Amino acid sequence: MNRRAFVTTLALAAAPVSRAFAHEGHDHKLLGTIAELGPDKIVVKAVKDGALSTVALTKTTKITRDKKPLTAADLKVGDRVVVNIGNGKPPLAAKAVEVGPAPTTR
Amino acid sequence: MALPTSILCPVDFSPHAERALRHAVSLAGLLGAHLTVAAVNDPLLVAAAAAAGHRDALNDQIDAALQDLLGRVPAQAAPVLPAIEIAAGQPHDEILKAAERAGAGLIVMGTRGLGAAGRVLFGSTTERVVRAAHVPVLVVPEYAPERLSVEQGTARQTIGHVVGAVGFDAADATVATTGGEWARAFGTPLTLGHACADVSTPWWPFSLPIEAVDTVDAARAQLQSLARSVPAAAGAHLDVRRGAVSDAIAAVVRDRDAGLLVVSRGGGAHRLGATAYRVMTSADIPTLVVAGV
Repeated sequence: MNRRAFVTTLALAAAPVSRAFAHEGHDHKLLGTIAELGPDKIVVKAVKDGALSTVALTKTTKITRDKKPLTAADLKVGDRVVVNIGNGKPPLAAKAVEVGPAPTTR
Repeated sequence: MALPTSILCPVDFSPHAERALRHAVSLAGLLGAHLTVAAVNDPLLVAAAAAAGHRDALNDQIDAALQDLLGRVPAQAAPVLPAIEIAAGQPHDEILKAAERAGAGLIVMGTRGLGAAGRVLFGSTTERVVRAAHVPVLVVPEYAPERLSVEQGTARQTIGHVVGAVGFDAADATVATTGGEWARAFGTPLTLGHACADVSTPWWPFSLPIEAVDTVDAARAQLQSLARSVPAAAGAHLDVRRGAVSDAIAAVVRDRDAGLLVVSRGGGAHRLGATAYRVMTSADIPTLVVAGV
């Protein structure tokens, strides 16, 4: 749990969303939920704004869940993922996909 | 019952959450209340971020998204300095915990707008919070007219009436007191409304006892008595209708050009009564749900 009081006013212009994770020389991370699956791509619904991004899966994409290797065939719609999208410039391609624990139905 | 000095507004970055946040900001400005904006992360995504070694990236992105969201809310003459909370877990549980931590006297949440049946659709999280909250919850429909607004740098309201839906039960005094206090805060009239259920049951073989028949005259007298006994509701307008409760209260809201409806959660502890649910989903204006006694 983080509790941070921000000394800001609502008049403050929106901070660029990318500022927190787009440092020069660092890979961009796309965090969200798999909304669609294709044979060589995933569509990720971003947690920060609900925007959909299509990310290509290549032969070099490393897919893991809790450090154990997976294949693209193991991915499912609804999986929570952290996707390393390199420099973040389109067309997006995944360098690595970390998959969260499988959702449980209640 | 007193007006809140601390308000919690949980957001999930959806359009209805943004609408709720605009109301929360306006209310905080009007009431001089402290505002906490909370976001709850999906624990499965938290686990994925931790496994990838990017735990901070998730909170950083949520931080940035919250700042972006707040930046879209119009500025006020008296700046609101919101506290931001980011939690992880089941949303309704974390929202209730955040409300406790913030000492919130009010939770402001959105609903998803009008569904196919022309009624407001409750999100499951909103419904769970309404059922379990120990403080009033202001439920803001996505497409409700923005009666609470910021104009020329100043928070203002353009509410016609505050309507308190009275069911003649243990929560009546709470509804009347809360409605009266909010009406006074907005400088608007309070209307206490009641719906007399139709009792025409031709198939019913027995006659109803006379005291069970909820007549308009008896209901009006009972409302008058309530308004006299609750100081905050003194001078309230009284409006008694006959018909289905949800339709009748919705008609009161419409005819009085109400901008705020106050209802009891009903249904007993930690439950949402079916009547309260129908009233809320029919009114299509911001609805303040109070827990009752």
